[in-house]
Amino acid sequence: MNIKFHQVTPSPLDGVTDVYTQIWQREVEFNCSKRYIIAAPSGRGKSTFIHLIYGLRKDFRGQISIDEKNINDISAHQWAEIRQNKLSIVFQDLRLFSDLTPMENILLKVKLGAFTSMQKIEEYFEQLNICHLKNKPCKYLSYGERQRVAILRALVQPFECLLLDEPFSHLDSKNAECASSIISAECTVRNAGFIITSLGNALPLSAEIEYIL
Amino acid sequence: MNTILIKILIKRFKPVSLIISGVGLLLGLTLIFLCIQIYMSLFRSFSEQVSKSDFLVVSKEINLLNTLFNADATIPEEEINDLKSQPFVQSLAYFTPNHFTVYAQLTGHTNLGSELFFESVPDEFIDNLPTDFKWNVGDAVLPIIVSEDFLNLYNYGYAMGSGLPQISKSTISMVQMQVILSGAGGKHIMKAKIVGFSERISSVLVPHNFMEWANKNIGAYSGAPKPSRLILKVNKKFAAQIEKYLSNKSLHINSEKLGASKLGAITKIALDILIVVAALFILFSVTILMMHFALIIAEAKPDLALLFQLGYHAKTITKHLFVFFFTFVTIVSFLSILLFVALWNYAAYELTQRAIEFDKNLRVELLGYISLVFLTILSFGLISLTLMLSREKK
Repeated sequence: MNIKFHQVTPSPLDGVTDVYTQIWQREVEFNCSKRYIIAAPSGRGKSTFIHLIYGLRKDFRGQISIDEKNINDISAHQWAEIRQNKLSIVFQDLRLFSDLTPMENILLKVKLGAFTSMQKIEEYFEQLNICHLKNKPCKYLSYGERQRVAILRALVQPFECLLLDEPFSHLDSKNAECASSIISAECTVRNAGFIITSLGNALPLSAEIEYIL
Repeated sequence: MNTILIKILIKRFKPVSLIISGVGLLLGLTLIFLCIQIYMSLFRSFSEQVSKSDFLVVSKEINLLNTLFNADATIPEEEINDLKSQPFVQSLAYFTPNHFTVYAQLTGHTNLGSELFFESVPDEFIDNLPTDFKWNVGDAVLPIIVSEDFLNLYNYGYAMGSGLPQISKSTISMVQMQVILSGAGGKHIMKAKIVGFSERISSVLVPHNFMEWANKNIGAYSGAPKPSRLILKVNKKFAAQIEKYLSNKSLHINSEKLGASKLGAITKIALDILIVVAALFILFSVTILMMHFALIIAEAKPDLALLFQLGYHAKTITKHLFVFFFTFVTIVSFLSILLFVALWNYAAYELTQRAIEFDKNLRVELLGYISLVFLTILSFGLISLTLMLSREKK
């Protein structure tokens, strides 16, 4: 799977020309078996960038293509297929069902394709230290705990590229490292890559290529 | 089924809205099933019904003049011809009266007898024509058809009042009778047997060829027939016109029969209106239900958006909502069938108590109509849900 950006400018950044960027208004290609870091301070469109790839935003100039297909031509049905099998995501704002428990949130994803076994899911819960919370509605969890649930949810489905939008922002260093090692191991096993955004500070997750947004 | 998905969607359903649309749907369905069943019971063999009440027996009105001056009550030929040319008359026949005296008595009981009269009409005007209503010259037994009213008069009037046993249709055919026919041509004694009952004709009927033979040979009568009663096969559509025409010509009809068909027409219109009302009931209830679904989908917009973001197909979500809709409609339909059967049995019981005869059996065709209504509602729901969610997807 590859993702190409051709002279892309998202609407929020229209007319902003005085900053240095390696992605906007340029030709960039992401090979999804590789690991990328997208670094930038706030307001440079990191979430917008992730949402554009995931097909949630259509307000941009230029052209984005996934596997040589213009994303404007991808139907809702095809997006559902891509989101089930090729792209997985950790949203910056997490987007969990707050009335459901962590386990239910995970199963909602698993039901789409039953990719991960229950045993493996239990292991993830264990490793991320949220095992004791798995049957408590998400609305009663702290942001950091929910962030780990969101990471876990992204891992239980098949993917070729994992999109991570500041996934460790509310994790202490120990939990961040733990989550990082799981993500890294999963990507290796699946021969998949990831694209992670960061504010520029050091990440526990190492990447091959770094772009400045 | 994805229980978590159901949990997300179902938690938004409001019991009050469901109950309101459920009750509406229940009443609508029950009403429409009842109407269809009544329709089929009352107008079941419609052609049969039509032919029954489409025969009118017409006679000259008897007034004081007839009584005082022994005036002729025969219908003149020109009136008959005029009647024949009316658009509502499909066919017409005379009642041929006997021109000899008839005395009937029970075999072996010479003291149990009575003077009688005979009439005959062509076979095709007789209802419930029995196969043994045939006579050939030389036959010793004369078959007779009497009016059902006579049997009823005897059973409910005479027999009950005088302590005699009541007679059923089957037992009366076993009664041995003999008739003594006498006239200018001589005297003739023969056996007679009641072979059938007519609802339509209030008379004592004998086969037409017997009447011709007996009038000629026993009555020695050779004049033209002088009909005082006619039987008409009419087109019921012209009921009002028929009534007017006959009263203008001072002809008397059995107006109750015509009234029955009028009543039938009114009942039919009432049923048609009821079916429309029931259909509207169903339409409104299903619309309320669909509006409720639309509201739920609108309220669940963020959840649905998230489900789409997680990779859910609109089809999957439609399917889950439809399963809910299907379950709801199935339960309500099932309840309405129960309610309908209960009401129908109650109505059947009440009508039987009032000795009103009608077909009480539930009709098999009703199943077809029930399935049709059920499938229509389901397709309506499926199409609406698909449209609502495809709008959400965008």
